[in-house]
Amino acid sequence: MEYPIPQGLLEPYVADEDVEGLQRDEELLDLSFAGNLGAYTLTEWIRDGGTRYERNSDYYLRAVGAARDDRSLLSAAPYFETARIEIIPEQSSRVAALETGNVDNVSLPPDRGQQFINDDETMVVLEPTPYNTILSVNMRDNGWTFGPGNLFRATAFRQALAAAIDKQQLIEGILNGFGTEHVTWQPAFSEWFPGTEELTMWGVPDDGVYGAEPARDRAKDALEEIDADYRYDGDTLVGPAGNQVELELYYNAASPTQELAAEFYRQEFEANLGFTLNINAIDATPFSENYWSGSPGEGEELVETIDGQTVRWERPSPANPGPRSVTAEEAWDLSTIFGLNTYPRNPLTNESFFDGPNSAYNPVGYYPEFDAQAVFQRMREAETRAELPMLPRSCFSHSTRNSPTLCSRSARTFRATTPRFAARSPTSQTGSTSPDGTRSNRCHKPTVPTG
Amino acid sequence: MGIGRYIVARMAWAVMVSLIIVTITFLLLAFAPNPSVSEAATQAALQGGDPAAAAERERALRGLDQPLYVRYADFLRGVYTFEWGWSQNRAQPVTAALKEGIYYTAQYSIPWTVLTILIGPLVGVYSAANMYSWRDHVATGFAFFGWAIPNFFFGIVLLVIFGVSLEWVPISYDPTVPVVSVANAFQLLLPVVVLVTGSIGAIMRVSRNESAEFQNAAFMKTARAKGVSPLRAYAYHVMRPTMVPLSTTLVSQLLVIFLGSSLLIEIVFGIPGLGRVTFDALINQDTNLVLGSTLLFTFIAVVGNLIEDIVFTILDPRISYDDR
Repeated sequence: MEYPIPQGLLEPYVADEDVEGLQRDEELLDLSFAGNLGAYTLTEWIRDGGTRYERNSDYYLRAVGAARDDRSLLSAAPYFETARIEIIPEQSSRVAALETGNVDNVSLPPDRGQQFINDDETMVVLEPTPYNTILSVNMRDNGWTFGPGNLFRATAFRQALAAAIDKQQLIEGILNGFGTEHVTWQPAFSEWFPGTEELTMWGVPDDGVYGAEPARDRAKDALEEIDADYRYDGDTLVGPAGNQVELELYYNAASPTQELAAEFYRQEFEANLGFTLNINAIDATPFSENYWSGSPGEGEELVETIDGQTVRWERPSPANPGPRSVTAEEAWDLSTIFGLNTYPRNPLTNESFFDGPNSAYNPVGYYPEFDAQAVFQRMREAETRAELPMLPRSCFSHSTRNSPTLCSRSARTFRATTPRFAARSPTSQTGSTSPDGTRSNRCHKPTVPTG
Repeated sequence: MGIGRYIVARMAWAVMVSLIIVTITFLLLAFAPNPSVSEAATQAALQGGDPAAAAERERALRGLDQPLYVRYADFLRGVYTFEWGWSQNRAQPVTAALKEGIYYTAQYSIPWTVLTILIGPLVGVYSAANMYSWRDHVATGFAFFGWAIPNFFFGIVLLVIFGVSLEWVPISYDPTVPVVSVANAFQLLLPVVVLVTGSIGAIMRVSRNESAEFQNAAFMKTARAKGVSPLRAYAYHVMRPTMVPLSTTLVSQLLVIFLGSSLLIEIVFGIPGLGRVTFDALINQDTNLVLGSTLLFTFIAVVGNLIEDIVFTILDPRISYDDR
């Protein structure tokens, strides 16, 4: 978590380079430096057990509420005497706690969403998220573990992969309908969304391109782009030795949703593209360390000629260690482990992903096939907001055609709460809900304070 | 050697064993990649800085640039002065983290241990006294059920029945409840039940089989001939020799399942105990806390085995350490 910290609090530690002291500063640990900025004050922190808060009667927004008629609701804020965040690791226990009234606010898994939507005693809020869920393909030299060549580098093959997966069925079957198809880097609710007229709806049967025939057609186009002798033997994609192509997919071992999605991808690729997928469960930390991130290259390793232009990796990092020849320790083909932020409020931030082969964040070795750097440069130089909309939209249209990653879905996070609190106080939802839903909230409301 | 010298020798060996285990753990973690270094480099790259310099700086700040023997020596010095370092994951000293974990784990593990030691052998002896009767079959069936069913699954099932449907017990564990209180007893009832049913199976079967051997022994016939009541005959004359081999099973069973069971139960019931502390430390590569936990469990195991050996000789006077 990142948040602003008063400079005066940090200065003594910076001057003395006292890392240990900074780590152990009590004001930083319990956020007591926040003063009257928060509606609640931390009173107790039980590691792995949760946190307890009490009402901050000096909450600074009360003055705003007193001064402005359109913010009058804040004049008596906050409206609860105490608040509590509990840590309940087991998902079924979390949901059961909501059912029994032990907690008032919880993140729900998709398969329980409809149950609570139908429950009159519970209010379910569907919150859009800036994070996408993607199927990454490894375009570096340690990708395409099956054999010679790397078909992932061919745009047509990435399009074939995207056309082979039925996003609607995935959302209905695995997310119980709680998600939206995602065919470009921006979610549909974003101001910078290019609009569906400009997009090819990969993997959307109703309005777009999906199925064995369109997928195989594009795959066959891709086969002509690489040197190795891959071909279709009937409906089966075979390699130079005549064996069926077999690839490795890694998913998060802690996510039942990802496991189901991985199984679905396997079925779709076998049926529509004729290759098999071995799915492997792995914890996110070792995957990040050994597969996703690589040791930065050095010297001549960091220079490559791409489309006739010399590109140098000035600042290699584990997230982009260098050209495709610089790889992580372990080989991998596809992964569903990491979703990425689409930055719908500030599209320029996406330069981290698309600003050329040597962008700040490029573990998969993507080389943009459009002049992304020029687009981002024009965004940076825009002098008025009015200049902006067309620029990111053009960028994200290109991202659809290029399909650097296969954007499968934009899931929504669920927060279910008991309506009695929401009815009395729309701002009663305190605490935070992490994307994996490991926290649930409880609000205690004996009386409405009058002070 | 006398028992005094034997205990001293065993304790010295315990220290050596803990040193070996901690050294192995230290080496394994030392050669594992540290995520904070790569995170620092990534952050620097995203902010336009120099990732290589950031990685080197991070390594220097964490002392990872020092030779291995220097880091090991610092670590050993810290261990034996109880300066077990700072837990990055929990933002508190390692000793404080372990104390907090033990505080919550002890609340269910002590009643679990006591009940297991009491119920397991008693059920086994009872089963042996009624061998092959319906009472024996019921007791055996109950023991095997508890042994076979996974603890975490059983815990969830009980939670659904007694917590959700009947609402007799709370769903989530409240760590702020006073330790000695009815509320705490209720919220720990299900975890203790699950753990006891899971651990008495093996103990019950061993005690049943061992005590069956002594039922028709000469001393039992003598006891019956002297008019000793069945209760005293089983509780005193049969139980005692049964406990000699059973003590081995008891100690090893309770030590082996201490961490595994406590982790799964703590996750299901939301108890912030030692199992979760250790597991989270492993996942987040919180080196200091992993090493601290390893040391703690090493001491528990070594002391437990020492207690087992001492109990052995107390239970069976025929065992002597004079010739060792």
